[in-house]
Amino acid sequence: MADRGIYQDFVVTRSDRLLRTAYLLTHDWASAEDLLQESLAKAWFAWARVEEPEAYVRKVLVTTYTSWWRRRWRRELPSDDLPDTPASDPVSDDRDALWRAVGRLPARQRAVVVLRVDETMVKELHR
Amino acid sequence: MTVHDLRDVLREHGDGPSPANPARHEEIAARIRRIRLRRRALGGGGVTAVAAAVALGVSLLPGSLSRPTEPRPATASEATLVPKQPADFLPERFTTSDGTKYRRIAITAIKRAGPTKVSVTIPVSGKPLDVGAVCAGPSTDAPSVSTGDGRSTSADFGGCSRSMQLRPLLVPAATSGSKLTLTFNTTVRGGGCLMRNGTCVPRKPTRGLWSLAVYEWTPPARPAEPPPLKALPDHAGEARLAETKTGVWPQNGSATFKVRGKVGFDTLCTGDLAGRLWFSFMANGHPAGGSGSCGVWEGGAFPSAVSEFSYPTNKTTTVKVTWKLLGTATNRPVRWSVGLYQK
Repeated sequence: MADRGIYQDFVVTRSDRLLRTAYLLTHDWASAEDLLQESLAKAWFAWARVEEPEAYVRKVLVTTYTSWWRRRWRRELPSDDLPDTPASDPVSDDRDALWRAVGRLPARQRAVVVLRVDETMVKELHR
Repeated sequence: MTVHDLRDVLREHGDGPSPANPARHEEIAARIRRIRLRRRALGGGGVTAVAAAVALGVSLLPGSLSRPTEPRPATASEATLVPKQPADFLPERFTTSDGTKYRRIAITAIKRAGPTKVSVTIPVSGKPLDVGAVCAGPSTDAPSVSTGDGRSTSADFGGCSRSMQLRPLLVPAATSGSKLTLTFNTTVRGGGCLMRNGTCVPRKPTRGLWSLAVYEWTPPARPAEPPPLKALPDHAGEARLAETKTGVWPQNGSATFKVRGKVGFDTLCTGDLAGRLWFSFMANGHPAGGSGSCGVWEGGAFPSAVSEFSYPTNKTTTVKVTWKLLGTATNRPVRWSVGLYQK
């Protein structure tokens, strides 16, 4: 059981990692932030029953993302004041093409690919 | 290209600099409030936007009619999410941004153990009254407020929140000059459950610590000027904002749109009583089945809650959005806007 008192600490310490996962799913930092916040907000309501918070939030992240993909007509919109997309290091053409190809995958397939990157994530997801 | 390359590419992107967001806490807290509101709104037939709340498979207690978007005098932000003594958050006096002066005339509490019902007797001067509540949770038992004869006299409180929630107290005019006994009751009245694999698993009731107060308020001498409205987002998903109508309640009580096909409406309000302004829809003069409280955008992402409707595509339907305010609002107008979204 997760103590609600640690929720704030969890948001502070784990957001960055979860945001990166969200970014791999959405390919866009603003949408990633939106996805992260929505997932953390949903997790708040289940917090008292959650055994492993990070694994749980990661699950919510993926289900929320796939549900957004399905519905398209999204209820939550990125805030105007979200941070700008940062510049990233130049990548080779092949790598860039691969990144873009992942971005064209349907949501569930993309989630599978992203989660496969880190075996730990997968283990957490299947617990 | 190998799996190894794919892994490298994803790691490369995932390990890049992620943008910091110092407002994240506040924005998450705002989302929590909105999700709570949507869940409470479940049962408001026709408003499909609330379906977002079902993402976690939660069905809740019977819906209330209130929204915790109230004046917040020196209270801790919900974003802090750290329990404090709730009594600290029910000040004896405070003034809201529109100049309304609040004075506490009674205070009580329902604790985690012991009676689930408490009563207070208050003098009724004829001035408008609000009930206020703060809660240290978790709690599944928001209190109802009723008079001695058992009649409900206030919109229900939302979920347990360390931010003060204020609700209008509806007192019969004949009560003026006398005393009134109010009863706060956290006895669970509904059956909430969590949906797991299609099965409704009853929620375990959890009692929180509720600090409760009754406030008498004095409105500003002249009508306050509600803050200007932010523009509604020009898109809601794939739908674009086709038309916007604005007004100030009580002078402007409705807005009319001519529509065809699938449409969505979203609302936004400003003013200290913005959360008490409720909309409902009429289509060609008949109730269209949707209603809800006006959206209040205090920060973070736009609190989108699109009400969707499908109308014939071969003829025009007249949709009238009508506003109604819960309780008294003398000199406390609310500025509203309604956006029509179409794909």
